[in-house]
Amino acid sequence: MRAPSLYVPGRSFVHRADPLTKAAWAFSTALAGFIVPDWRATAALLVLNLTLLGLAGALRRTARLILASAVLVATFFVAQGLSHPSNAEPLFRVFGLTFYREGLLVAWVLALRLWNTIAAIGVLVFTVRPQDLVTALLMRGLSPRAGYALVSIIQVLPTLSASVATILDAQRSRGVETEGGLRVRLRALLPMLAPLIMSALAAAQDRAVALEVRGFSRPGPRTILRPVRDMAGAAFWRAVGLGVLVAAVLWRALGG
Amino acid sequence: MAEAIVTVEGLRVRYALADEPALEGVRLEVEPGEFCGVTGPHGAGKSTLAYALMGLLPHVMRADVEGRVRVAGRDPIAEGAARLAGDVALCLQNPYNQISGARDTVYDEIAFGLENLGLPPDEIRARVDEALARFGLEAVAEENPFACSGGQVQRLAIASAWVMRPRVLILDEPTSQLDPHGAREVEAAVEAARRQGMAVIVIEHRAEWLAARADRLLVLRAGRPVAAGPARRLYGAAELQEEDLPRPVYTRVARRVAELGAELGGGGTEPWPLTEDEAVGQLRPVVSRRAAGSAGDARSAGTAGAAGGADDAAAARPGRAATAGAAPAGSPSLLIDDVHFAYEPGRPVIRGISTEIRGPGVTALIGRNGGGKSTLLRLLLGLVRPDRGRVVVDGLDTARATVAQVARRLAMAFQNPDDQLFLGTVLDEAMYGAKNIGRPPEAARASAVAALEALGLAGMAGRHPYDLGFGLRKLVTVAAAVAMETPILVLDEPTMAQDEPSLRRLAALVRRLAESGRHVLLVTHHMEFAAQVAERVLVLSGGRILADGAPEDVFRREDVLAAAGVEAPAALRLARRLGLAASPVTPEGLCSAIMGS
Amino acid sequence: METRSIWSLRLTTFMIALIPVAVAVNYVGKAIAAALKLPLWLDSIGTVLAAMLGGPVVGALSGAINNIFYGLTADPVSFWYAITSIFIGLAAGYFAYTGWVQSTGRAIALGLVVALVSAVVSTPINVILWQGTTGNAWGDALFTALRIHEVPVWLASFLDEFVVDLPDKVITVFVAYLVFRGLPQRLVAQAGARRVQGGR
Repeated sequence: MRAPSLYVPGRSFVHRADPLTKAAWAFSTALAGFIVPDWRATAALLVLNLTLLGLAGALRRTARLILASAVLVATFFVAQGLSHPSNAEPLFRVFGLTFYREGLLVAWVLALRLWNTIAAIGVLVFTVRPQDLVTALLMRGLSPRAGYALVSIIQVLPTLSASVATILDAQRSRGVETEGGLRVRLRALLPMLAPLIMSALAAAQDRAVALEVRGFSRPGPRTILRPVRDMAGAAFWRAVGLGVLVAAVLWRALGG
Repeated sequence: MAEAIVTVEGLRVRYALADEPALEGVRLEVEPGEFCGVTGPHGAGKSTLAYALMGLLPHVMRADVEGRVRVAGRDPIAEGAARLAGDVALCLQNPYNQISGARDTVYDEIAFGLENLGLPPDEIRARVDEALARFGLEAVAEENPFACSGGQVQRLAIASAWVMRPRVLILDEPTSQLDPHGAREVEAAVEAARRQGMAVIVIEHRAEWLAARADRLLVLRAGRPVAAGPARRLYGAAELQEEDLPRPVYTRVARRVAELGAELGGGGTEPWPLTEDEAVGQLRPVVSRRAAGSAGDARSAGTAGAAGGADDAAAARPGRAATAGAAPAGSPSLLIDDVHFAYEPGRPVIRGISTEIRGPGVTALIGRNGGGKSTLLRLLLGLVRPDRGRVVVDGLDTARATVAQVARRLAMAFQNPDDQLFLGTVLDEAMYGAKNIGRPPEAARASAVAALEALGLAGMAGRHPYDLGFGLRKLVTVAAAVAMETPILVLDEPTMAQDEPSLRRLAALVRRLAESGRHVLLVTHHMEFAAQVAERVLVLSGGRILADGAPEDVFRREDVLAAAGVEAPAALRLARRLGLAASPVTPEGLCSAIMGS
Repeated sequence: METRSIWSLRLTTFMIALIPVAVAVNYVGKAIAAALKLPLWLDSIGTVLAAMLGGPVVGALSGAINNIFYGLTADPVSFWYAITSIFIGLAAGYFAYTGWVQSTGRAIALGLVVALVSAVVSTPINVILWQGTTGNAWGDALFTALRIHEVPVWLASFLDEFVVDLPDKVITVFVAYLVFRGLPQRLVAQAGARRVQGGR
């Protein structure tokens, strides 16, 4: 198996923007979507982020993530439509349950915020390789040890996933039942997971040795062989991102 | 004499929570540019020595350490591994665990250590380019390390260590988890590293490599030094047991021939041969003298010799008589009938295999990785079902059976023991499968104890499998499969990472199982082992069976071996070089053939 | 041997190498639960195990990095819940280091504690972000029923999260405990964890 990834390769304007600028934009607009007091502002942010994703050629992937959130969105409409305290005006009845206009409007706002979160952070994750994001953070003083812990998952996870199938084979061949009642399946959990975890921990011990051999714990400055450069006008664009957030907070505090 | 770069005096190591020291009284000196082999049976303390030299004890692993250790002018016990980086490097057994995980290409992986040293980017690039060239990794420079073969990854690990320019490079069983092709790649990499004047310390079981390359040897047993000194002297020392220091096939054959009364080339003044070339040099005169001596009836003698060689080899193996006759009722049987299989449509992995195993015995299944062996094993276990054809295990069609039902008839020890070990003791692991397939706990325990004993693990029944080395863990899974007492037993690479005593115990156990009415299917890259214990060899390549027959007949077919990417056993290669008419596949057979020539 | 404070921020290289393994185990645990068709997430076994081995700091780091990685590679919403994962790691690590992984009974108690911590920390996130729902059909059905009967949103949301977390976290901690108990002594010692000798 390959490591999970949301990265969509490309050369668009959004791709060329540097990771930290996009991170500032993504988290600012995602948060602003929750803070602005008018749902139309959230919708505007959503449209803006979807436009950026369209430029990056990642709309289809975004749609897939938004679809994957359908259950969460459905619970908004059911739970708030039936039970929000502001409910007053019945809209329709299904299976003897009354849905109210006010609650459904609350659910609509929640859904917009969720979708805006996905789209905003999508601007970052669809267009940045996690390695580059970590490199950018390392250049801003992130500890190399923390950077390693994050970026090595990309390499470690596929090796673990790959051994799952072999472990399943080996344990079934030793008479471990993996199908049947809940109790049988629960009992299969340990023979499946424990070999995986033990060998992964033993590998981590080995890897710690390999890291020491490569000077991982040496004090002193590191070289970054493949630096990530800030885009032209990075400071301006980061200010724009933060400005959106500040504006949202001010709007909420003063008006809304 | 050059100044030693590694000096060890009176080293004693006792791990936290252990009663006995893992290492005691060890002395060692290695000079720059030397290849020092460290060998000895499982539990000898070889890895512990490597950890001590690298500064992992007691900084990374808790232990009491006494004695004086100097490596590249540093004191690893006082300074610890982190500060030794750049001066000393250690590569462990499992190649994939050596990958830092910090970078996603081979190129960047090699550069990682240099980035940590803070070198300027231009120097990093120059050094990485040099390492790629020296270790033959240019073609995979932009690949993900985990997508490379085991041999490539082990070379990558060595290259990543080498590029730091350490003065001492320590390798802990670097070839034990590789196939012969990968092992040769690593051997070449070690030579490349050494040409730079680096001292290389290699922990290794395989006699052929050490005998051909090592300048100096340290032989350990149960934590104590047994012998130390120049490699050639130790290989010639009669008092050193094979269990402690196994000799290569070449040495063993020459010795045996001399014992049988023949005078070797060099008139007995030369040391025992350690390589194929040396063996040819010393044995050729014997062969030509014998041929000249019987010139009158050379033709018939040659024929007799050939037959004799084959017969002797066959006589050393059991099961031949049993398979020659009709299989008795209730004896193991395995039918593979025109089996086809593909994981994805249009990309067949097994392309029409038909063969049958009837009665007790030992069959070896050989062929290069990717030839369909693993898939065939999954078909036998009922883990996947044939697209066409049938697999019938002891009367049970796998297409109509659950995996658990098949497991009562056919047990298998998988290649990587770490894919199945999870219980707290060796004994629990050994009886787990037997209990799962419905054997009463007492019977399961008795079979497990017997299997552990047969493999020399009786004293370790209460230990945690992960407190044992890889080779011993591998034996635990073999014992666990044996203890299931199924009519058919499949062992996938049982000789992997094994010491000489374990190889002997394995061979004896496999023979005994065949004699007691079971059939052992051996999947192996170890041709000497296959030739020694199997009476039938199946060659698998490209999803088809290329050859099927007695080892003498199969190993003789160079076209088949080349197509399947395997080498003939060393004895047969030597016989060819000596120009013998016979095709002996074991050292014993080769001796008879030489004496009969 | 020097004793390390359980809140020590000095992490050995082994502990650093442990964190990606913990995150990978979270992923794979979830995949195996799905493959075995178990009605559980089991997506924090690695975090809990890392906490048992390395203490609260390693547990918290594993939790945080888990959600950051998951947010970057699979589900952006996961970022908001990093705080829950951090507290799961802190709680499991703190209680494991103060002797709560020494028997089956205590391990189950630890599971209850972790479930409680998880629900308590998640509740404000759920209320602030989504006005109380969690996205789990059963939990949200309970939430809706409670809200119709005018139970306060905080309590309803807490119960919504807790009914889902209770079986999941108890089994997660219990599986992690079984694995932890079965680990070789040498590895446990290397991580610096304490475990009762021969405890069964």
